[in-house]
Amino acid sequence: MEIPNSSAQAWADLIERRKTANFHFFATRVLVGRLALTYQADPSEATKTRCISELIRYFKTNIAVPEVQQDLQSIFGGILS
Amino acid sequence: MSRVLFSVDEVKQMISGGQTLILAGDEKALRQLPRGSWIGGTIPYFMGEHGGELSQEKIYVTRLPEYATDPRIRVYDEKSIHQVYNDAPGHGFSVIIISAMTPTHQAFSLRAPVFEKFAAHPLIGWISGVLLGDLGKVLPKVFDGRGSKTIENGAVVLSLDLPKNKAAKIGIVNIFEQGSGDSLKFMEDGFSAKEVVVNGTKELFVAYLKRRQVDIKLPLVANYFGALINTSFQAVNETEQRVDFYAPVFKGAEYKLAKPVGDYVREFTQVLSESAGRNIFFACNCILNYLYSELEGKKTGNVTGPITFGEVAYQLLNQTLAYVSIEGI
Repeated sequence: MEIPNSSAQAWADLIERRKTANFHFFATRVLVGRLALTYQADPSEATKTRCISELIRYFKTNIAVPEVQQDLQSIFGGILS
Repeated sequence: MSRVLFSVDEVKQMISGGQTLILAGDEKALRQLPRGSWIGGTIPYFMGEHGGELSQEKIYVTRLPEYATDPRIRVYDEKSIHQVYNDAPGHGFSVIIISAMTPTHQAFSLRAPVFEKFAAHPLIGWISGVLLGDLGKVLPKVFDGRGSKTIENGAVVLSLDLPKNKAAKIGIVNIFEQGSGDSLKFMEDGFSAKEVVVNGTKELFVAYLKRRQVDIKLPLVANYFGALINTSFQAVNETEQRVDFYAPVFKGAEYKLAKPVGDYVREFTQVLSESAGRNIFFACNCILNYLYSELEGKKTGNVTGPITFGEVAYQLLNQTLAYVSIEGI
């Protein structure tokens, strides 16, 4: 499954809490929760960029896990292949 | 159900036979063990094969599955614990045991969510403890079995590689849910708080808890995109107008007091049944669940493990059962 790059708007929407998602994997939940808190404390472009990079690295590391694939689909509305 | 609690002599034989082990037991029991490939932490409370049990003689043993390879033991302190995710195996998982009420415990609890690569690699574990009657007299400890070394301030970590067709999946069983009451936020990260922001208005937390007649056996619950994370109350210090916790609260996170729980064992077993069928490799449950729900002698499903002074599922948790299962992918 291809992981969208950092320019995909859904990453930013998630970090900024403009979008929510129904996650299956515990790690996804705690990581996204923490990144959203980090951005809330310092809502700068630099923080957003850093949080999105961390999220993408997490998905790249764990993409073999089916629940993580589901979580990615949940962020991008099931349009990934 | 397989045996999980063993005598000191039985564990000595396992170590001498070259097995790599993750151990939980009273300090007096662990101190008798020979050098070998093992890590351990002090605690005399267990979810044993017959239910909740207190024993200062038996040792809870977690043996590694045959397909797990390349076990590596590392020791950290408060200065190096930030490396724990960087040191994690590329495809595997790590088990951590941290000595309670130490600088390492503090550093991990407060900072783990911002450690580099947080949550990118599975990390499960627990906080060591002591017999409750010995609190303040005996220090919780961890052990690096390679030198039978006792560590008062530190964390021991055992990392394992898994084959590509298996993955470690960390989960929690938390019977507490956020209640429908006030939104509570804190101004700083920390193990204590003097002030709280209640529905947007700042007030003294001690006064709030008193006014609302809050049952502090119920934790604060934060919701991280569906993961319900508890922070348990340790004490309300009216003299110093300070509320102490067993895990930190985090600035900006929204907490709510938990809904009351009726029958812990029944509700726990019901929630746990949702995890039935998982190949649970290791689990631990909180000492507060053991105490408040009077779990001694009671079985909580088929899950066994140490009863601990804090649980680690990527970060520190309270009043929660944490587990790691190993599943085919």
